[in-house]
Amino acid sequence: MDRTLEGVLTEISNLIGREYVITDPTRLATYGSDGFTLEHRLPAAVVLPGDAEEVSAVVRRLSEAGQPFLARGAGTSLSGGAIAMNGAVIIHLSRLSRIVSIDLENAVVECEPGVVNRTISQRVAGLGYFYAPDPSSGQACTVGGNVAENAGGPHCLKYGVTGSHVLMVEAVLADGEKVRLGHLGAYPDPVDFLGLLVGSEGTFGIITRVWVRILAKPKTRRTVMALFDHVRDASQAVSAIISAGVIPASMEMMDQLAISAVEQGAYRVGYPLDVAAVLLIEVDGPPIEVEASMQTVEAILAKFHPRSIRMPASEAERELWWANRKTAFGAMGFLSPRYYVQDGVIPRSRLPEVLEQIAQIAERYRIRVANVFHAGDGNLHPLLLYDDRDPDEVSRVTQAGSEVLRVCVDMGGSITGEHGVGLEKLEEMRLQFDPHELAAQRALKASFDPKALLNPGKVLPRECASP
Amino acid sequence: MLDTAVCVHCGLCLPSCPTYQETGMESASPRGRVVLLEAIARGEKPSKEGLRQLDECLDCRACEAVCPAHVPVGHRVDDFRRAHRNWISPSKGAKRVSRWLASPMGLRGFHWAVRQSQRPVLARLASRGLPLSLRRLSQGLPPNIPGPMSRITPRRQPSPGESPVGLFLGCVMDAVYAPTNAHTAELLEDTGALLSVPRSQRCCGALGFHSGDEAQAKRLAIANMEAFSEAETVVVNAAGCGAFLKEYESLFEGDLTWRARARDLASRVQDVHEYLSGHPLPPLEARPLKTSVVTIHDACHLAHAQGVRQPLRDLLQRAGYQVVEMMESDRCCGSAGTYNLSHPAMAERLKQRKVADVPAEVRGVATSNPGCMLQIQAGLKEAGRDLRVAHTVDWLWEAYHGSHA
Ligand SMILES: Cc1cc2nc3c(=O)[nH]c(=O)nc-3n(C[C@H](O)[C@H](O)[C@H](O)COP(=O)(O)OP(=O)(O)OC[C@H]3O[C@@H](n4cnc5c(N)ncnc54)[C@H](O)[C@@H]3O)c2cc1C
Ligand code: SF4
Ligand code: SF4
Repeated sequence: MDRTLEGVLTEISNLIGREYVITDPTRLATYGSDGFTLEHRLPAAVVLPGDAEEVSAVVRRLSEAGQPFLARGAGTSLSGGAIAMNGAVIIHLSRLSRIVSIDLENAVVECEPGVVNRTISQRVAGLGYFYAPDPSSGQACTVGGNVAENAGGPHCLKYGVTGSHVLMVEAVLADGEKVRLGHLGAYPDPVDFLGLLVGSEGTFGIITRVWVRILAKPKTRRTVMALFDHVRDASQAVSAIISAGVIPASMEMMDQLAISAVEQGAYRVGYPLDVAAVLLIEVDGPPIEVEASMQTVEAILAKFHPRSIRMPASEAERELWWANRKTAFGAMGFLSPRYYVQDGVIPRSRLPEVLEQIAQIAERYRIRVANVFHAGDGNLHPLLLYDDRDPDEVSRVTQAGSEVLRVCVDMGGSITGEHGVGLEKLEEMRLQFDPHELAAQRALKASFDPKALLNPGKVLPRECASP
Repeated sequence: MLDTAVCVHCGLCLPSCPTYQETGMESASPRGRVVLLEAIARGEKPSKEGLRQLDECLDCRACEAVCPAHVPVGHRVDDFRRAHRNWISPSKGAKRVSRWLASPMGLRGFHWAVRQSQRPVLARLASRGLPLSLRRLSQGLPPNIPGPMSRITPRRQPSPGESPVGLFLGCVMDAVYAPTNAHTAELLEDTGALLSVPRSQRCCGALGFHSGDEAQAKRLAIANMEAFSEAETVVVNAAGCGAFLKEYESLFEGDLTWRARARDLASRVQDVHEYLSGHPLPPLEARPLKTSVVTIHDACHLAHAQGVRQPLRDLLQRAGYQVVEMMESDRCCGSAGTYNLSHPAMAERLKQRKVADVPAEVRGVATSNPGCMLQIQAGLKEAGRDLRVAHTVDWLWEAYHGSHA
């Protein structure tokens, strides 16, 4: 059955209410991009279903009509995952934002996909629990988006990324069928379908409910800040700490340009503006363990010529340090109209080399690059600053970004740690996977989505005529 | 200072925006509004629906407080509104009301009108002619509005050379909640402050400014800067006025003299909670309080615009109250200046949302802006909940001076 889009949208209006179907071009324009601003595409329409049943009904209609579509959470994706390609319809899940249940006995929270990441921790904090995955966008990004991107965060060094905390999901498949993947038991399924869905960037199905594991809050938590005059010293300290067998909850680094931005932002720490790098390290766990780890960490830091090492004077100060770190991307607005953030991963030990190469690339393409990264797991976030009104700079920045990723792959790393491939890194997929591997991935996608309707134009690069 | 940063489209502001929470739509979010404003700046002609959602911004500044780049979205929408009056054809009623309120005649008239509206016969007669939104709002009026507007006489007059603490009265505040001003004065004097209540002070100008009358706002600003030129500190108890007084500088672009004076005033303006929490209050009245469990609604122009949150909590606790927090206490209640008159539908939704968040176990709500007090009281009444909404200062005064409630 092939129906016109207009007809389908009328049917959907009748189902979910007219006010929840947007077709007005001015309003659609606000959905033109997400956190990735190099691309801007108008969706054919935006629909906002109110619950999982409505999502399923909407998907069924769209699928029958052969109309492509995609899910959107908070639109904080940094790889253009939530941008509608090929005139797709956006299914915005912001109305599915209820926490359904909190089961303390099994330490499981059941929630709808539009629940904001941080809300979970806020709701269980009083009960002595927390939700470990803490992307820096946690105040806004949604649990559904986190599962789709397998999001990480500063504290995932010790606790693992989103996938390690999702027990079960309910998802609507490309034809509208609702399925449950995973279960609430302690062991994974023999065939890990849930694992396939996690990190599939909305190309396999639309997640309509998520069951996540929450953890008891660690007894103690200590943060230390070290300032360095050379980036090399800071990155060597990171490797040394891990080699010493300490696994901090998080280990974050910012360079001078990044510091100059966050120090203008909402949370000012008072970093000296002439330091080359700051390292924030947090250790948590039982008091004795934390004490011992902290001593090791401090001893190692001292070996790498820090300008100073500091502890926060209060819990409020500790929170301020982390809030400051978490606003690093947004604070780029003080330095430049736009930024393009890369997300390469490298073996930790190659950090100093890679940072030097990035600096060279920046110089070659005449752009400014600020570095903020999850140093502990080698996940780099070079922020390439540009002005979108300057077409030449836009093209230089795109090329520089691609070169940075090539460096990461050459070093034995990967093109993305946590932000996903989206539409941004399509071509770079070829750097990491050979044609056979890509073909296998395409076959998998086709088995989930034979009509290629779900989040079109993402993750998998088009087949080349001659591989 | 406000215009330095650019929106990087990070989306971190979305969940803080009341209209996004309510609709779930990007086009009713701060980031969406920036996109709309950028398109308009490029010369694109927005659709009616798009403009409507842009104009639904409450100017509550919640987004500004969380934006890592300090993008002043609320301010920008407001600037746009003032520059393009004709585009959004604001409700004429709301516009007239704010202009009239800001005039001395209007203030007296308003005071007269709200008092008359409480006489049973007249009230019924008068309310027939009023729009639904106003009728709803009048539900929130306190039961007995006193006759004369504030005639506060300080305990001691400043001698020449002494710098007093000036009390800013506010127009709606003084017309409807004159006792709150009297309580503020009394508590200030309790701390040992040498009080002055300049007669020449006027409405802060915010209402007129938001309805497009910049010239009037400037005149009022100048009058207030003159009136308080002697005061060491200017204490304000209405959140909206406080925020506006602190921003007078932006009214005088290019006028260095008045800009400097505006900056000087801003440096002396203090919210009443900031002031009181930094000064000693007398021992508590021993009598047990009838209403001892309260919740706080953080007024937008206090929490977001002035960053004052903790002092309210500290003060209430010091005064013996138990504070039970409501969810998202700093989400706008929908009152937002004259928003409840210009955008009744959204204001109504936000009011109901706010009322639903008021915890069951509390006996009262403390807040710090006349608009919020009216709005939340009206909402509670409609919901059949017998709770009192009062200014934090009123709750404090009752603890320190014996309750009449
Ligand atoms: C300032 C900033 C800091 C960030 N920091 C981090 C970080 O530390 N770690 C990190 O991992 N990421 C980070 N990100 C990236 C981003 O926040 C994450 O990728 C996040 O998981 C996206 O969630 P979202 O709700 O915004 O999803 P969206 O951006 O709306 O969507 C992202 C993708 O997920 C899909 N999707 C969304 N919801 C669903 C659903 N219910 N079912 C199926 N598919 C769905 C969409 O189709 C799209 O492909 C950051 C982003 C910003 C702007
Ligand atoms: S207004 Fe600020 S918080 Fe919101 S999207 Fe723009 S930069 Fe981010
Ligand atoms: S000022 Fe308030 S209503 Fe307006 S965009 Fe910001 S948060 Fe939303």
